[in-house]
Amino acid sequence: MKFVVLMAETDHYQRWAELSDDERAAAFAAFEKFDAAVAERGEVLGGEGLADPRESRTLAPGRRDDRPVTDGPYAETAEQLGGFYLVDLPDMETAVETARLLPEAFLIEVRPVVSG
Amino acid sequence: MTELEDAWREEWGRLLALLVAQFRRLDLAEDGLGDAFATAAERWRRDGTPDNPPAWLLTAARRRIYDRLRSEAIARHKLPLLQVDAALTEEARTVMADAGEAVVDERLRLVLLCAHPSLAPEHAAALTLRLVLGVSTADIARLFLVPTATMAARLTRARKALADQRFEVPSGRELEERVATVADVAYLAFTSGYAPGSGDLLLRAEQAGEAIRLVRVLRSVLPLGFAGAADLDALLALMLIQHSRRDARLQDGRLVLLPDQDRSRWRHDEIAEALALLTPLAAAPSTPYLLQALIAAEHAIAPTAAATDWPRIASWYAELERLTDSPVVRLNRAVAVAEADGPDAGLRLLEGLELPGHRLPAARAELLARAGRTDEAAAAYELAIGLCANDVERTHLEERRRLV
Repeated sequence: MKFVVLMAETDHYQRWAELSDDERAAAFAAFEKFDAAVAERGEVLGGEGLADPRESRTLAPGRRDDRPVTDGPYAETAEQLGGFYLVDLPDMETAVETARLLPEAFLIEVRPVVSG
Repeated sequence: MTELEDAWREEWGRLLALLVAQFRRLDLAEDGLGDAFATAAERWRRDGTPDNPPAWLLTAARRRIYDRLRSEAIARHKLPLLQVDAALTEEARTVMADAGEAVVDERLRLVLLCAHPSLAPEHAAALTLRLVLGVSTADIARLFLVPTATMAARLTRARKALADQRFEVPSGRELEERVATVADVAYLAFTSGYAPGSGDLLLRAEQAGEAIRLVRVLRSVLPLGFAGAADLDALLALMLIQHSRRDARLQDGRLVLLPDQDRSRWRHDEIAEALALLTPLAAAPSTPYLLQALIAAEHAIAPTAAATDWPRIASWYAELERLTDSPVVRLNRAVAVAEADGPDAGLRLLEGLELPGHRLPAARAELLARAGRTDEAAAAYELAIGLCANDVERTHLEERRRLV
């Protein structure tokens, strides 16, 4: 089964910039552990870190030319989405178990991909 | 936005070197700093220039780089790292550059890295302009007369070739060799600026100016008492004198050769600086740069072309030829000897000389004409005209042939 693993954190970008080098190194180590754990049980199909949501443009619903475009993300929440993985794993339980390895400060959503 | 331009000119190389020491990657450091300057262009205009521009830029660049590193960790990109002494990385990491603290100057390491023996000289020259002086890729492409995409690809290859090399200042003999390479790279960038017929002369003067700035930076960051310092002074003097003629070199869009230049249009302050650099080198051992600088200085101090001290110039060329064994030097020496002792003496020096291109037959033609050997002169002009690829120079040669 395929899953998207979404990683969010309150004020993620500000906090990331203020981390100490050791804390950043710990986060990198967590990503590597997650990678290795997924690779043992399935496959990492992809993953990307996202730029600061202030760099986003959001298109509101509407017909083509009528869509209003605004600066920023679609949901102004305290939690900022910072990156995601696309993984192939046997089941949701395994996906949740491996996601536990990701950096401790992150809020994580594991969501199945419909096509499986 | 002059504060930003000043910061770019003054701080780019310094900040880049510091980021390279901390993050051990040229690409990250360069992109991060480039982004920081781009953000500054927007923010400083809106909010005013910060109290400490370099500290602001350093913080913004680091922030960018931290984001990139996180993204690369997730995308599982593993890239090679430069070899940097751990203490240096630690030191670079802790520099905050706020409260007026001076930024540690790691530019010497950066300059020496760009002169790494694994790079071809012209690639080293381009990379040095980009990394040390912060010249944009588009401007470097313009200066080297290639499309921007070509130059971008060339710079990327050069960065990759250096990705896992040592970011360090070697000692002793190796340092001297590396600095000599930087000097050659700077002179290559400088002379490609003044190669006749290679594009817009104003633009080329700009490139020559950047090459001079590189030598100035290099002199300022080398350790005190560095063994090769005298040769760098000589090189700087040579460049300054050649550069001081830039306004006189061009008249109505045409190239004006040295004897015909209006000497009042030379930059005499630059000549004075060059002569001051050369004065303490009177007893220094001869090197190719020193001899070329002395020759240039001799032209620079002659009040008129006719007052040039040709015997002295000829003797310096003789010494330069002994050092370099170069046919081009031999040709120049022959011209100087002809001025000092007459065309026959010059022609004797050209006998048996082999040199591709039009310059040798053109010089022979000129000396034959002066010696009154008109048939031979005409034939030599024909040969030179056939070999000359440059329109301005060919027109000049055709005029000369008509006068024979």
